[in-house]
Order: sequence, then structure tokens, then C-alpha cells
Amino acid sequence: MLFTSHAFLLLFLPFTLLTYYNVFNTARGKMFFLLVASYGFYALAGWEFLPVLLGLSLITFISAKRNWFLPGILLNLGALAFFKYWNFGAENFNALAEGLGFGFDVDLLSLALPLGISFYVFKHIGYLLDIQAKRYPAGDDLWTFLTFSAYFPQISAGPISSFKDTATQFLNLPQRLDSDQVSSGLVYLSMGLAKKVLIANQIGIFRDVTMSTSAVAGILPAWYMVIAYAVQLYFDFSGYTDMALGISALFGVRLPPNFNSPYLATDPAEFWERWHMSLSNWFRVYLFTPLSRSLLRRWGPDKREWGQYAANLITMTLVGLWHGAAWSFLLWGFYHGLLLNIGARWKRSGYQLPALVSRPLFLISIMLGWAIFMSPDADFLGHLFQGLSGMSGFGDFAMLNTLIWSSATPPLLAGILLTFSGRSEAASLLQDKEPSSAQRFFFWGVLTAICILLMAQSQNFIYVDF
Amino acid sequence: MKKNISILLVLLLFGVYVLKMYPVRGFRSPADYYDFVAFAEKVVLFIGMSMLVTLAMRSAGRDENQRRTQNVWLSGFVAVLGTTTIIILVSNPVGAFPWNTSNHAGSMNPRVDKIPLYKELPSAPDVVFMGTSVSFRIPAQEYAQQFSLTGFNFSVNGATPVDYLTLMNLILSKASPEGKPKVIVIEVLAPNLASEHAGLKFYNAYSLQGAAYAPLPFSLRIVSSHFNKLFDLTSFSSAIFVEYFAWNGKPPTIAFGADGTTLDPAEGSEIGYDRERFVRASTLLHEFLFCTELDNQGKDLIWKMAALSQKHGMKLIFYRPPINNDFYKLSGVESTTFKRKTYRRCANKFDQFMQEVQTEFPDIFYVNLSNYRPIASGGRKLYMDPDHFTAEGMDRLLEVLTPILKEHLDETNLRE
Repeated sequence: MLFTSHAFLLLFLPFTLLTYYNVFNTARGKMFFLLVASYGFYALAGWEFLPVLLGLSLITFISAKRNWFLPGILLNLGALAFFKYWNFGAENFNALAEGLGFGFDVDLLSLALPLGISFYVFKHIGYLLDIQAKRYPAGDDLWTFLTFSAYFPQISAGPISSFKDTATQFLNLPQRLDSDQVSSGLVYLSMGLAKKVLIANQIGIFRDVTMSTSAVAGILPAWYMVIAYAVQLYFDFSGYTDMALGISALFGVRLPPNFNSPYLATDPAEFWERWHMSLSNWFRVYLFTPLSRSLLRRWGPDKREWGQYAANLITMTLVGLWHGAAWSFLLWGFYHGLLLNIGARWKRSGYQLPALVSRPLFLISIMLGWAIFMSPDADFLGHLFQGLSGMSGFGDFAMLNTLIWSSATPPLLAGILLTFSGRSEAASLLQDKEPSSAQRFFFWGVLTAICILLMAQSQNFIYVDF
Repeated sequence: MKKNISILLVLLLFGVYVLKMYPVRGFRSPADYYDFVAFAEKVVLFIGMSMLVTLAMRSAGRDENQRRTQNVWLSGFVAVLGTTTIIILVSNPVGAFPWNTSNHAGSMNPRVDKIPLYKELPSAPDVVFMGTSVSFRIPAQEYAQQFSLTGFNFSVNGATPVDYLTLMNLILSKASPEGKPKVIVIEVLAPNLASEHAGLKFYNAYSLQGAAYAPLPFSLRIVSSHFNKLFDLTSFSSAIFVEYFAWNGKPPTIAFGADGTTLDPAEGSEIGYDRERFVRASTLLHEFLFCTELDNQGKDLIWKMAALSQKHGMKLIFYRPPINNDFYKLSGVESTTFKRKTYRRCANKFDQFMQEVQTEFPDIFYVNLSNYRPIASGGRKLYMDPDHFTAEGMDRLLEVLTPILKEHLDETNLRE
């Protein structure tokens, strides 16, 4: 069940909210209801994978209680690797074996990806590592952990939160919401839905139809497609996150933000402090920091800088791999590792470019990364880079005309305006000091209804597929 | 000030786009339905985007009064959604519900309109034609008469394997006229098996009563589809369009004769023979282009159909109709596109699958006419658009099908 489905917004969500506030009076009762609702939500999305979620949750809980950290982490990673990377690994192994003249062939499997496995596995691993590092003690209550693991506003595509931040809230669920929570919940929900339906979907529908090597032949069409993808991806994922935060806020649970106007960043490091913040934070805490400390110990303080570069490359390559089983994602991750290293080196040099030069350069580098990310194969990537560099000319006039007058251009313009004005996040709207008029909430309600009317064309959230 | 200027500029640009989308000839007849729906969608989309930009660029802040926030938000929400839903319910444009309070006959949905026509037949027809809107103009009864048989045209727009099996269940049900067809001729839209769940798509659902004939998981989907359509802009636009043309005395429905054949004349080669329509149509054919595997559920449904027809002693003739060669030129799709590996892979897989069905079930026959040059090269004379035929085009197609049908009918008669 998608967040952008009629069944969710008009049946599941109202029913769960009404039941949550009118039937269950205690925090514990509310938490149990959230657990049941979360498993119900997951079952509606794909009941056959419910045992995987339940099984991994139980394994994680027991592993934490018994200090079986390594087995718990390996089992979680093993499940993720199996469902997500088996075929990628098998295809590459078979290609290598064939190249080396071996007849050995690993079977490919028809495997669907369990909903949210990339996200809840990381929550589990984060939990185990936090317990191991003694950041907080292992939870005693299985039901709280199961609710944390399956919590439906965040199960599909995050944000990845820590047990300490989220589960403690389950113990203190409010009887009623205060005005802050209601307004923020509604604004997040409305804004998120609008970003997804009005901007991301419209660009996505056009791109799905148009994407081909001929559509990126020429510098203008190529840059159009890449920028369109950058805007689509951002509004799709941040739209989902806003909805997740809004829905969760309506239940009285605060989730961590995932975006902070990433295209306003001025360097690669800042970009990763603003883009998919929960994931980059996870990798920083659980991989980058321990890895760079380990390399520092191994290589010594003289090679501290090289240790950081290596840690950046390894971490970001794995970030890329997390996104999916394809070489394009690995390459994209590695590319961002390089960007981080270049950024770090540049900072150390003390040399500063004027903002008029550095900002566009930085944005171009991010767009080039998206060009890698969006390419389905090497052939397309080659054509795309030829287009982006101008090697295939200016672009066919008919194609340019089609692009300019396409249904993607207005949402693209709206997206760019919101992005560069810093008004693309619901959080930024809610930080305004002046109180809102009631009239504005009326229009948020109207906008939400309009989005529901337009939802028939809804595409799946891009990050749900990761 | 800067904010207001940027908002105004964006709204102006949106306005320009909306105006550009308005069709030059306006909305003058029921045939403009799809253009109306597309334009309405653009208008609402642009209203939505304008609201988003305006609301986001201005402060959102918080309201101190929680109850007021909630109620005001809800009132905006219900005002819009409540109004559209009531209009959709009252108008019932696609005949989902068993009432007709509107002042027009029929619905815009062949899946709703043709079922009562079939049930009113004195006995089961000997030849039933199924397929998509491409087959709407097959003059079923007139055509079957040349074999001294009776015929019915059960084609529905955007037909998929779900439709074929649903209609077969209906044909075989006790609620239908007595007897069974000898032959069912099915025009297959190949892209409907080209992507995951493509075989499950249906553009206008059966009525809630019709849902009973659909295979079980799909019958539930029909019910949920009707729920979704209550809150859907296309349904709302359809309701407005239907009521507008109903006021003008012209029902915006496709009229069908007693044998299920459309009574609307072939519109001629001028309407729909333009690049825009070809580009729009090419998205459907493009599904086949990027397909890596055929849809398993669609294949499964076709297999079930074949088994069902064998059990009841009916023959099935599947055919892929010829695609207009002009499609390649006018849509901007390179002719080499359809020679690309990915396209050939799925086209071949489709043919292979149908060969397997033929092999397993001796009473099933499949013929691929998608590149049949004598018709495919006919251009404006034989086609109204990438795949819909003119009257002459339909005649030519039937000429090709006649010997195939005759051969299988002769076999059937011999068996009897």
C-alpha cells in the first residue's frame, strides 16, 4: 500500500487515527495498536514477506539481549544480501567465470525485494551496534522493539531512526496532540503529498515515456533530462519523507528529518549533511567513523589524510551499493567519495573560489552524479555524457520544442523555484515565526484534496524500490 | 516583494502552458472526450502547482488553536473532495453503480454496456469477437451471417487477458443465453503482456455486478478500483463531460447495436491522424520496447482461458492486428527501434508463448499479423491512427481472417 493511494489516505489512515485516539487511552494500548497497524500495513503491501520482517526483528531483539552482536548483524546483512544482491552477484560471477573459461554457472532467482528491507535491516544493525557500544542498554520489551522495527510511517523508505530516539516515544504516546503537532503533521502531510503528486510524478511520467538515447542527444536535452531527474528524485524522496514525518506526527511520534534543502549546499560534505540525512548519518556513525579510526591506527597519524580519503571512498561506494544492485549505483557512490575527497583537499588548501563560480561548479558535479545514477546501462551513460559535454551537438530543435512544452516543464520550474528559494521543505515552512492564518490551513486542505484527485497516475516512490 | 514577483512569474508561465494545451477546435462533440479529460487534468494540475508554490513561498507557521487548524484543514479538504465525489456518484459516468440518475442512456464504458446486450440475445452466438477498441467496428452479426452463423462483438477498450477470461466466464455462466459459442476470435494487444501487471490493467472497470465474473483476485480489484474512482479527477471530468453533452442532447457514449458492434461511423482519416496522437499511442507500444519478460499473470490468464475453452469445446483464434507503418514515421520512433534487441526479445517471447499455448491446446490458433504489409502499409486509407482501422481497413482485416475462421469453423462442423 502506497502512501499515495486512496486506500491509505482515505481508509487506512483515518481509521487508524480515529481508533488510536478514541479507543486506546493508555500509551501502552496505543503502542500495541501501532504494532498491529504496522503489521497490517506491511501485510497489505506483501503478506508473503511478513515472516522475514518478524523473523529478523526477533533475531535482532534476542541477539541484543544475549550480546550475540556479530551473528545478529550477519543474519540481518545476509537476508539483505540474499534478497537484494543475489542476482547481481550471480550475474557478475557468471560473467567472470565465462570470461575465465569456467563452465560454472550460478542460478538466478526470481526474487522480489521485501518492502523496506534496506531500511529496517539498517535500523536493526544500528540497534545492535548501539547496544554493543553501550550507548544505551538493550530494550527489555519485545513489543516495543517490534513496533520500532515495523513502524509503518517509516517502514517503506525511512527515515532510518535509532531505537533510542523512536522507541522511547512509544512509551510516552500522547493522549491528545497539541497544536504544534497537529499543524506540523498536517503541513508535512499536505506538502509531502503535493511534492510527490504535483511535481515528482509529473516529471516522472514524462521522463518514463521520453527517456532514450535520442532524448539526450544534444547538450540542451541532456541537461534538461538530468536536471529533471535531479528535481524528480529530490521531490519524490523528500515528498515521501514529509508524508512519513507528517503521518507520524499525527500519531504523536517525531521522526528525524531526512532533507534540508540539499541543493543549497556549497560543497560535497555539506550536501551529504542535507541529503538523505538519516542514511548518511547512519553510515557516518557506524562505518565511516570506526573505519577512519581503524585506518588511523593502522597507518599512523602521518597518513591520517589518506585514511580519510580511503574511508570516504569505501563508505560512499557502499552507500551507492545500498541503493541497488547495479554498477551504476556503485559508480555513483564511488564518484561521491571522490567528490568528498576533492572537497576535503580543497578545503585544506585554503584556496577559495568566488561563490559565483563555486556554487555552479558544485551543482554541476552533483548533476553529473545523478547522470550516472539514472543511467540504466553503460550505453545510455555514454550517450548521456556525450550529450552533457556537447559532443553530440546542441540538440534537435523538434526535441527541444517537445521538452520545453512538455508536461514536465511547469513542475520542473516550480520545483526549481521552491528548491532555490529554500521553501521546498515542510520543516522550513514551519520554522516561520509568524503564525499562520486559518485561511492558509483551508488551502492546505484544498491542496491535499486536489492531490488525491490527481493520484490515479501515482507512481511508486523511487526510494521504496531501494 | 521578490517572493511575490517570482510567484507571479511562475503563475504566468503556468497560465501560458494551460492555454497552449487548449485544443484549437475546442470541445464540440462526444469524440472530444479524451481531449477534455486531458485538458481538465492539466488545468487542475496547474491550479495545484500554483497553490503549492504560493503556499510554500509564503509563511506556513502554526496556528495556536489546534481545533481550528484541524477543522479548517478538514473543511478545505471535504469541500473539494466531497463535491467531486457527490457529482461522480450522481452522474455515474462509467456505470459502476446500479443506478442511472443522469439524463443520458448508456455509460462511457463498453464493459458495462455490452453485458446486457449479450444477455438479451435469444441464444449464445456461434462466433464471438473479443479484443480492444481496434475491434469495435467488426460487424459481428453481418460478418457471421456469411457462414450462416450468428455473431457478437464483445470487444472492450483496452482489453487485456483479465477481460478475456472475465467475458468467457460470463459467456459460460447460467445468467447468459443458453448454449456456447463455436469460436471466439480474440484480437490481442501484445503490449498488455509486456510489463509486470500489464496483463491486469483495465481502463474502465466492470460494474460491481460484472465484477462477479472476473477471476477472484481481480474481482476484488474491480471493487477497489470503483472506490478509487470515486475520488479521481478522470471520473470527475467524465461526469462533467457526460452531463454537458447530455444537456446538449447527445449522449457521449459509444452506441452499440444488438450484436455489440459500434454504431458510430468510422470517423475518417482526418481525425486522430496527427503526430500528437501517434506519440500518445507510441507510449503503449513502447511498453513492449522496454519489456524484459512477459507478464506472468497475463500469461497465466491466457492459459486458463485456453483450458476453459478446451473443456467446453470452444475454439479460440488469437491474432495480433497489423500496426500502421506510418506509426514509425509520425511518432518520431525510428523504424530501427522495433528492430532493437529489446523489442524483438519481447515480441519473440510473446510469439513463443502463444506457440506453446497452441501446442498444448489443439483447439487454439494464433496468428501474428502485426507486420502484415498489405494492410500495415495502408496509411490514411486503412487507418485512423496507429492501430484503429477505417471502415475499409476493417474490411481488409476481415478478409484476412475469413479463411482462418472458415478453416476452424469447418473443423468444428465436421466434429459435430
